Amino acid sequence: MRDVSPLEQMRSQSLALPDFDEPPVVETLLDVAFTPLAAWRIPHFGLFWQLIKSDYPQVEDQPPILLQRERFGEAADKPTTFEFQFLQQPEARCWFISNSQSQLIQLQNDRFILNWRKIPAEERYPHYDSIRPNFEFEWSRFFDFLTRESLGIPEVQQCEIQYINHIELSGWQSFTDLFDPLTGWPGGRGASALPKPHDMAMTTTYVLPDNRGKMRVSLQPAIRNVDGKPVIQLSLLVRGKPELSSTASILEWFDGAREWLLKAFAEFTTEKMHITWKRRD
Amino acid sequence: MATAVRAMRGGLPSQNQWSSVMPLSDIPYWYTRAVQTVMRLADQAENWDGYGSLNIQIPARTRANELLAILSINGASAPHIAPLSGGGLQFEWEFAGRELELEILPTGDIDFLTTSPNGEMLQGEVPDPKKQIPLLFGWLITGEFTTAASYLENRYATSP
Repeated sequence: MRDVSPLEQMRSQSLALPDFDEPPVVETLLDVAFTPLAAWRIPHFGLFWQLIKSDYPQVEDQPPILLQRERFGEAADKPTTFEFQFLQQPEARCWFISNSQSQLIQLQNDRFILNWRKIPAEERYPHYDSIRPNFEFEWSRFFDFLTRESLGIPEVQQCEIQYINHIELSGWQSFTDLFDPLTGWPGGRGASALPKPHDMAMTTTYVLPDNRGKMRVSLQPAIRNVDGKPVIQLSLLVRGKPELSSTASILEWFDGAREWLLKAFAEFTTEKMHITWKRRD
Repeated sequence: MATAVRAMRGGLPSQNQWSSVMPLSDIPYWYTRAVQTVMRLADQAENWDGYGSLNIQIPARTRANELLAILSINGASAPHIAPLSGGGLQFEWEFAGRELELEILPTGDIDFLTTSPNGEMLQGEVPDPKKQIPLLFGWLITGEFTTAASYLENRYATSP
């Protein structure tokens, strides 16, 4: 009997996780925040773009985003305070958008983010099995670029994985049809003196074992800007720090965090909706 | 190399999301009706005016929805929305004798036209609505472009 490789082990674990053929996910993102690259200058955006331009021909300027660093243990119990962060220029973030308009690389001197979003012409969600190698490829390209240009090696501060779901107003009548925890909410059961909740917004935070990360599950009624449709946005994210700054360690952290997101999605949503989204595990 | 200082606080909303939404709690009273108006106009068939006009093109519709979100965020008042014969849409406002028109072309590009009480007109493109809409709306309310003035003078032609 041959040995089972770590990759196969990971895949077999992955198979045991909740899985859906038609989940309501509209966007995923894999985000790596690192110590600012001291030698990074504006021209480096252009040099990097040259490298990826055939795959990401569209570019947009954006204001940079700040790191929302998660705190654990005693630090997390202290009240939130204003912090001041001294930023070295260039204060810029570049968006590199793919030919298909479904993939985006966001780059700034301390951040690398790969987003996938659903576009109408692309009906199927590609699943993590496709998104993960995509991230590995693009991160490696960035890493090689930094090495070649002598810009230093990213020292990872925090990673984030996020799944954003848009649940359109069809196939369900009330929030309790959608979300399992809300069946016990005032108005969620028949015996309640209150009527069924009409609108609801909430965020729940979980600290993962061994402080591997913090998971946030957020529910927000909203209007989708691209088509003006009312949706319930259910976003699930995990932020935390991999053990090391290596690509393998980053990927391992994403794999673990993603498992929590899948479990949370399955536990938060109802079996009725699982049927709609074609759960297959 | 210059150094910048920015305030930072925990608990801010995630900024790395690509697909944008407007939380219902932040929506002004007119927003939903305006979105419905855009959808209704966009659903009209070709020749909606009896003169062979195109229906509202998808890029114009998408841009109109994005524009409504930007307007909402910036505290704008309700626009008057009208279809254009070439397959675009027009948003209009009037305040204190000043008029602002935003023409959304079938391609999704946006042009603006301002008309002052003395008849002076200024027109041009709106290449980045997130940056220029607040400036145009500032003009509508105050009559001054403030920081927009130099940008607009450099970029656009004026007509008396």
